[in-house]
Amino acid sequence: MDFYGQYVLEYILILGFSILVALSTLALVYDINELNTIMASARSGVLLGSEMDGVAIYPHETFDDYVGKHPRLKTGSKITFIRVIYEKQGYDQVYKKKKIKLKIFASVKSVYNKDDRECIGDRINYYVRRSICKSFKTENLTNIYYNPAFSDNYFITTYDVEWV
Amino acid sequence: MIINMESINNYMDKNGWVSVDFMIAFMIIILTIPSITSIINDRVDTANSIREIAEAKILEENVAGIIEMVYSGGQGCSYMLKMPSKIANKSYCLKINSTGVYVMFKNNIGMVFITPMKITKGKYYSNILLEPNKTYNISNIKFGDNYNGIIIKEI
Repeated sequence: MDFYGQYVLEYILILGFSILVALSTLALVYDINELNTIMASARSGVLLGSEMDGVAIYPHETFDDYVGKHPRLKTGSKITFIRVIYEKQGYDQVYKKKKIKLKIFASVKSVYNKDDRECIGDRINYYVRRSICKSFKTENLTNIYYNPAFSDNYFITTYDVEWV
Repeated sequence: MIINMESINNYMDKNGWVSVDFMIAFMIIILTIPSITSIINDRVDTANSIREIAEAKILEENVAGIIEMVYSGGQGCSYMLKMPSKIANKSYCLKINSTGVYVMFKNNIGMVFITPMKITKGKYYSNILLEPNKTYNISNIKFGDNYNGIIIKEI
């Protein structure tokens, strides 16, 4: 008796059942994992975009543009990120990927001009798309504005930032 | 009944055992780690980028604060400013004129406003470039009968 172990039948049945369930839900889990990665990357992008606006350090061309048209943005603005949601928009026949559109909700109390807010929102959206492309290593599939962004199975665009 | 403990011990020492649920748990961990890695990499890059631009902003705020302090100190007030060699291990350049302090860093530019005042490095108004690793004397001098200004000279 010391040389032989034993298997419990219920344990084998439960184990087999668990493996079957795991294998059948693998595709769904993979899809959910990809969406989680997209949302986590989007949050990173919002963080970086709002920080760039917060300290008011921009690329040269953007800064020169702001000197003339958006002088308010030469000084920083405190941006509060609220949440990001996604909307599924079906299957895109051109890119052969499922399409989702991200919407970011944020708040900025010190900027009142609509055009200035649009500039801030465009920067946040740019960094969101850039972050997604960097996470999935798809920078070479898109343009310099990372619009649209691509993941393994999704093609991602963004709404204008919703200011609350 | 004689039990041969030596043979039992030998047998036990030669054979290990593996738990199936341990293998399943280990497999799940192995499958989860690659998906987390890309998120972690992205967050680390974001944190590094934020650190770099924050250091640039801190530098330009410090320089602007020093200029304001010297200006408000009145004639004769001066300060020796040593510029750091790099910001976040990257090169930079600082420009000062009467409108503000500008930092140029990684093809980006930011500015901090200062009180409108005459700032020069010589006789005339000019854009003053502060270069890394150099020391400058910022002093408040009288330019005319009724106004002061700042003169910045490299030491």
